[in-house]
Amino acid sequence: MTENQEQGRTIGQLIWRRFRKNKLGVVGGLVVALLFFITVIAPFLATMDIVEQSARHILAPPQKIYFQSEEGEWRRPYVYNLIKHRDPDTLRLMYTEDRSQQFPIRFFVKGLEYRILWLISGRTHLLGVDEGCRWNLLGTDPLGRDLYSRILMGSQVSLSVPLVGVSLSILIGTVIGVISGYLGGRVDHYIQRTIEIMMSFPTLPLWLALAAAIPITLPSAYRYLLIVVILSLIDWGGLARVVRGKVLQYRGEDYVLAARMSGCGLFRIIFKHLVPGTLSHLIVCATLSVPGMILAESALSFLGIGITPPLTSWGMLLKDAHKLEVLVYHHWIMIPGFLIIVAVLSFNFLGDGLRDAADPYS
Amino acid sequence: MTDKLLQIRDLEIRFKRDEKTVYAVNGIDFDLCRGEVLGIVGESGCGKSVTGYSILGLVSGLGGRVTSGSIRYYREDEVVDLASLDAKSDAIRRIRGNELGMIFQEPMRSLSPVYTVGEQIGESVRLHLGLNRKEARERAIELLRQVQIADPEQRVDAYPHQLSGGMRQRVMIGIALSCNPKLLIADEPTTSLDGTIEGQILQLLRDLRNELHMSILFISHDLGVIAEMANRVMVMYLGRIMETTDVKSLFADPLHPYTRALLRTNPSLAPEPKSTLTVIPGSVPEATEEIAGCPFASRCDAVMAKCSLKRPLPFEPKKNHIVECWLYE
Amino acid sequence: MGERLGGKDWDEELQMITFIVRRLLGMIPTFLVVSFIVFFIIQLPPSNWIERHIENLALEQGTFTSERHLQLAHELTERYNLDRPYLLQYGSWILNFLRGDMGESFEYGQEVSVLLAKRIPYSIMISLLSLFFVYSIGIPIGIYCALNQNKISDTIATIAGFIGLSIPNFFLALILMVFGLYVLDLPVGGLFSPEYEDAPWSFGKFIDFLQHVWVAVVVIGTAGTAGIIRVVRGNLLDVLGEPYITALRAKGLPEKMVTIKHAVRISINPVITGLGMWLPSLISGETIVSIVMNIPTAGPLLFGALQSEDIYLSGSILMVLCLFLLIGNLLADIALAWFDPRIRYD
Repeated sequence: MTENQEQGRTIGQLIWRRFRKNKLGVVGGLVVALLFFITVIAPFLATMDIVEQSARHILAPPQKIYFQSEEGEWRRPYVYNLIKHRDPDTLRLMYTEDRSQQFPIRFFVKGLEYRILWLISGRTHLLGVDEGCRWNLLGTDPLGRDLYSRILMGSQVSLSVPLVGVSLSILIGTVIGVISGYLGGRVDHYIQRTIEIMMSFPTLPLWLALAAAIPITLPSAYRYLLIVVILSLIDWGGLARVVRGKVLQYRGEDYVLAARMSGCGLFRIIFKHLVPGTLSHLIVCATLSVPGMILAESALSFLGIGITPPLTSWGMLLKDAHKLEVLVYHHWIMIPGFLIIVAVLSFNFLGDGLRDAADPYS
Repeated sequence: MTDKLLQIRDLEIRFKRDEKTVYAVNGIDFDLCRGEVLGIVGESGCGKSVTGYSILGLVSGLGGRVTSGSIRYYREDEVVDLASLDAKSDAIRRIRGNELGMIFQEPMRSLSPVYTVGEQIGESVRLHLGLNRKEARERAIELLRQVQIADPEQRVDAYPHQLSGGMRQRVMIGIALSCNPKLLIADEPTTSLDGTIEGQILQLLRDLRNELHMSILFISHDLGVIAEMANRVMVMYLGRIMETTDVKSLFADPLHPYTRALLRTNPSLAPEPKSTLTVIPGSVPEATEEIAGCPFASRCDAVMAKCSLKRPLPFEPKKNHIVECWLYE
Repeated sequence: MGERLGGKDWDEELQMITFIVRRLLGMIPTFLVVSFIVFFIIQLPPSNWIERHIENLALEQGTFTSERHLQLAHELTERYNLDRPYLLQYGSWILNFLRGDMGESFEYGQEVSVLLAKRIPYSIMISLLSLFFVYSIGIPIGIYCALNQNKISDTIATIAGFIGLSIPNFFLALILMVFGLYVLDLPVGGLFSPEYEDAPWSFGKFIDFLQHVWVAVVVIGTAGTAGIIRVVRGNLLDVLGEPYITALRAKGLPEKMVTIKHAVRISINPVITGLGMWLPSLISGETIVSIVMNIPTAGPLLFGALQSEDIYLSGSILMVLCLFLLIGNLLADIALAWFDPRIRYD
């Protein structure tokens, strides 16, 4: 009885039903959705200009947010300005609060102009404080820039690179996979050999070599695009293999043969009959290759041959942590690292859940 | 012939699958005598294989559980209830593969791919008979000869993938017989083999039975094969025994409507040779709920009101011919 | 009997030898394609490296006369066949590489082969230590998880594995370096303490080496370990569902023999072939971790060479890493053929 019920549903519904049972997968999916939502509205959430440097706020710690006045009464959350000085013995940077003035945290303050998704422009920011105070929710970097805002804007690069990259991989992988699987024979043989060779390259050294070949003088946006291209150039092989395998499997199926008999053109067969059959596997594969791309972009940017300023990314923000003494005394600069872990972990959970749902036998 | 080897009473086996319970075997009773070949026949999913697995305590390894009943095994000097032994205990391990051997449906997948057949046969005899490596090898060659594999001295070093399906099944038989078992459980041993090979394997099993005086519990969905092999036949449906009788009466005078329907699907075996090929209407329901009455009631052409309410008792309308059907009340 | 047994062994040996020869021949086109890609990539930067090389030399030796400048340019053009067609340049480069003449590093003013001889052994040592770490931690945990499927310990190990997969290795390296330096008070970075730097190998030097590289090994191995746990667990669960496992139980084998001698042995086969799959990530990991931790292996050398467009150095390092991978793949294939008789016959 239940068999019949299950057959009555579409593949999508079946996958969704199985996926919902996987708690880690669902949690991963929710976190991924949240991260992307935050990324889209990042300019609205950001409190400061990400390139604004300040010699008076080098490596300032996150400001403490007070909910009670000094007398102990509850009041609107406020912060104090920080004043920089050096410890006379160790010469280390120190910050003390300037207790003379309290700056309440306000909602929907006017600030820097921005655009969300090239569509909505605005000047309203979710949080902010009045003039006269520099509020760094998560502290600052060695140039005194606001880490909270930089993390938010960095997420736009860190999370869009894998998305664009994977889309590109899917495009290349699908086209080559379909060609390889559908034509078969010699073409297939050579394509498979090429993929094998590509997969036997040590990826990071190859990425380094390709990224180092991009001229440093290139504008940030072009560099961004080239980095994406480099990442997906090495990534598409696995996808192409999956697509090819599925095409080979479906090629022999009756409905495809029937379509051929009835004189359907090659492209019609491929896009009407073969691609839908491979779609669920493609989505799973794509989700599972996102983590690798996030990690790769962050590694390249960490090494200084990935994204270049004025753009920023989580990996690039971690560059400042490379000096161990900085890392030890200013641990807030590690925050982007934990965000990378959260993002990658969520994608892994999501991808794993989708894979189990799409193919319960693997 | 009346010397009892196995006595099974009220055997119930359940599986858990996707949070549902599958009622695989629902309270069956039967005896098996020394030297007898008992056939169990039924459609797939009727619980016949599971019954075979349960005798060796292999059900738990497949995700099932014997929930009640007893499997009394009569050894020379004692009686052991196999159902009460822990599946991983030494007590049942010493009996498995030693006194009770088993062969399986898929010889292609029932041998480990990374050891030679000699090693796999030898493993058994070293374990149960305490032979050393060299003796085990000799015993393996002897067994390969016994199951009529040509060139046993060469084949003993072959890996399973180098052998054909029929040869692999012979090797499986060799493993099962390595310690001179009292009972061989054969779970659809020829289902995955083609016709001529099937005939050879069946002939081999008959020869070996006569030679070694063992009992065989022969499980198959194929009435023709059962007719060739068994002395006595049990027909199972949805975890219950419908009819038990000797092989001649079953084919000459089937009593249960299910048995009759089953025979009609196989015209060459039907009692009236001119009957046409038919199918049993409907399909086997999934065994995910307990059935109060006769499990065949939903498809039976002689169904009565009582049938779906109350489980039929075993009636014996003729001597040694037991049938669970209200028609014979 | 002895004779016949000898026959069998000889047969298997012959099979193995044909198998190895076939794989070796199969490697040749791969090697050619890989080397061509490497050659292409290192030539990608658009700048004129001959000019830069001469400028570098000029910094050391004072400015050249324009005559000397031209002569140097000519010499370099001769040496690297730059006036010849592209394919011939490649041909002479790869032939020289195979002969051990890898050209000269402009940055270091040394033969590339001399530089590599100092660095590559440490790269390989660290990679192999990481591999050992990955296998010796990952396989037992994977087996344990499969045998305790869906119990708390399995779930914890699975989640821990996922976390291991999700930490960027440079970040983990940073954290462990801080931990080692400030909590455990261990030396971090480099390969040896100064007193062992030039000392011959001894037990003390080896311990010192381990103290220096353990962070790197753990970091490189973390992601791999998580991968191995997953693969071993999945395979073992698959194998445990195979009919021959039931058949083995029916033989009366003790459960331990069923799982260890039979199931585990088959389920780790793909892990051994997986060597080909793990090696690239090990080398990638080794490269970045060495750069982060400033360990003098091939990684930082490559990174520096790429940035300064020291193309014969970077090209040679890339080639050596690729060769290392090809050889690793070959060894994995041979090991698998050894373990799994089915492979030898395909």
